[in-house]
Amino acid sequence: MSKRVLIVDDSAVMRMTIKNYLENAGYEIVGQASNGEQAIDLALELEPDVITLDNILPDMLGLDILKFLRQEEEISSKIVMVSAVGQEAVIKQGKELGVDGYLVKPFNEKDIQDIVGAILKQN
Amino acid sequence: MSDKDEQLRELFLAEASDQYDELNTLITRLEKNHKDREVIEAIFRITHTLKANAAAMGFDAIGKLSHLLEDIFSVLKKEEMTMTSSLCDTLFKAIDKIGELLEGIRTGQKVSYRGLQVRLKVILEKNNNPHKFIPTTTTKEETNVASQKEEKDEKRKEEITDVKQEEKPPKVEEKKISSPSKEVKKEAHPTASLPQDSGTNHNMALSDRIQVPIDKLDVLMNLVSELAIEKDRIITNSNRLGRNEFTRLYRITSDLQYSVMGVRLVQIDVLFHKFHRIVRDVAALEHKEVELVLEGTDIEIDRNVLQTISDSMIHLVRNAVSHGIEDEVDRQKSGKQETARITLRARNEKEYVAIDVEDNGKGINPEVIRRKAIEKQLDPPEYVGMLSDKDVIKYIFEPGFSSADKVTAVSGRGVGMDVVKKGVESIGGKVFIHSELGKGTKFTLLLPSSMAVKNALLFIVNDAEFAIPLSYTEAVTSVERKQIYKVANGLMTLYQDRTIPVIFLDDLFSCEKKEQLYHKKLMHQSFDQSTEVISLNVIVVAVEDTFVGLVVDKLLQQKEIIEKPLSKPLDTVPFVSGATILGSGNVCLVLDIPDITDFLLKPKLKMTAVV
Repeated sequence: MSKRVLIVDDSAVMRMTIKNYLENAGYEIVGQASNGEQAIDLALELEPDVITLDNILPDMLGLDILKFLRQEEEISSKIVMVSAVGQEAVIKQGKELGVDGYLVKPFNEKDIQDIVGAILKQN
Repeated sequence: MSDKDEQLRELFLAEASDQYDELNTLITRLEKNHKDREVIEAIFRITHTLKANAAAMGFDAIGKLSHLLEDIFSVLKKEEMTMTSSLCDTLFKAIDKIGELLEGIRTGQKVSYRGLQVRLKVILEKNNNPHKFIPTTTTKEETNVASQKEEKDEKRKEEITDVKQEEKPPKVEEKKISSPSKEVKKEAHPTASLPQDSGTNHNMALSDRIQVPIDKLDVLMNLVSELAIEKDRIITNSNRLGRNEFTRLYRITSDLQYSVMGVRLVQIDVLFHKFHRIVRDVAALEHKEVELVLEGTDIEIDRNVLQTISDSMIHLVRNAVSHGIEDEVDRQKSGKQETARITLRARNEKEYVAIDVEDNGKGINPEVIRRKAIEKQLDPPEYVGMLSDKDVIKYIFEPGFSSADKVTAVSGRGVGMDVVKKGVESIGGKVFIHSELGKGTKFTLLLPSSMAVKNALLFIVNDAEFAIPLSYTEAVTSVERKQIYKVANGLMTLYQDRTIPVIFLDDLFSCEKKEQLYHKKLMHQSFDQSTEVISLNVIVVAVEDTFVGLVVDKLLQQKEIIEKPLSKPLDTVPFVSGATILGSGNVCLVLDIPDITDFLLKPKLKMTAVV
């Protein structure tokens, strides 16, 4: 069975890009969220195998979501943080909060497929 | 679930939906004036109570959300956070979510709320630590699903310790942040600081009001109605004992009936104040500035009447905002200085309650309605052309008229004005419309203040008893047969210098098939057979300003009746709205006067409906 992915990004273009890239590699996109509130509701409802999480969202940070999902819900989904170049602090904090992988924008098709493939092998 | 639990749950839900309504109203006020301290205090108190109640009942979701709201308002109260429009939006969302969760408790449906919960939490955290995201140092093992309050406070403190180490914000602020919940408790209003850990502080004063589920009142009302009928029967059958024997019984049942009716009355404000939120939402959606004015909010009306018309009211108000009020550019163009205003006004009118829904918008253009009525082929163009502006406007109540060529998020709900009219008429009410081009539109709903009892006029047609609600009867008169004239397929006579159509009710009732109703000679039958009669009993009924004369065999009396709707499959029988039981034990049909006048005055329309 193909692995199920939830995409969280406020940009529709970015969501589409990630969707195309991951679908090309055989993943199933089970949900897309454009803000933090949706992201959390969908994450809890769908319990996807992987969540790609943009950091800057209109209502909260990706780190807020990460913190909630990891510390209060202990959700089993693997989480990939997506952040722009120059935000190394975000990556550092993400690590502390238990992120499984991170991706720096801009990235290409192979980058995202590699990182998602790698974190799913960690088990 | 045991009976007691069930009762407690009902009580909680009733109280919580009141609190939900109140929160909506208050936040709407807060949106207009971000600094209204009184409102902030009030919201704080309500969220505090709601939180405690929900927690006690084990409704975690509502408890958590209201807890966060309480925290936010405690910060707002201390002026450590500023109110913004975007915060207002989030608050509205939170209230909506609480409403959904309450509904979810009733229906058993699952409602996701965690996203919003985090969003509120983030707002609080961002306010406390505006510059930086602070990860907690707690490990997974330490964090236990976080329902325990102490733990949460612990965590908050830890977060703050982190701040100290990393950033060292000014000392004063730190202190305030570190114990928000404790300070709140000290300040909290004495009446609001109830449960949470109830047990220490018993308050034995019980409220002098009780809440009763409406279905219990319905049962009571039904029993009283039956009693009233039984009383009539006994009095009718026992004439030989003399009426005096029954004066006490008569008076007590009558008092009882009116007391029960009185118990069911609620102040119209319970419906009106829900519209603050509705107007606000629709206005925001349409980018309009609209002010809502409520008048006569203390007028009383039967709760079920209010429930029945609430959908109609919502539709009228939404319509007023989205269609009645013009956009800002048009308003300026037509030189309107004043803000767009919608007024909901209630007043007593004899035994009725009248509700106005009035806007000061652009009014309805009769020409547009005329064109649309012709386009939609509701009536032949010649007929539509003949109608006065006032009558043309009434087309908006026709089924199929408002089938939206403008579907918006607001009005595209598939409900037309015809549904509004049907809803109001189903309980014996009426709708009037008054519109002035460029100045605004006013809808008036004339409603019975109680559903149960109607004053009616009883009469006999062909040996059977019938009733007409007194609200429709204009006059009872005797007309000489020679003063009735045949005009085309119908009959006419003069009433107070007006020419009014006349119909022998027996002609209508003797039809066995629907097609017979449209037989050319139908209306002349009884008239032609009644050659030896000199004068006829005529009840003049009025629907809006149209008069129609109904010829009956014998007039009986005016009487209070309790009308019951007909059950299926009889509910589709034309011309009859319901039935009542008379003292004699006979069933008496109550006539649907608007249906009869519609049939007489709009024969063409009905024709197409039948075919």
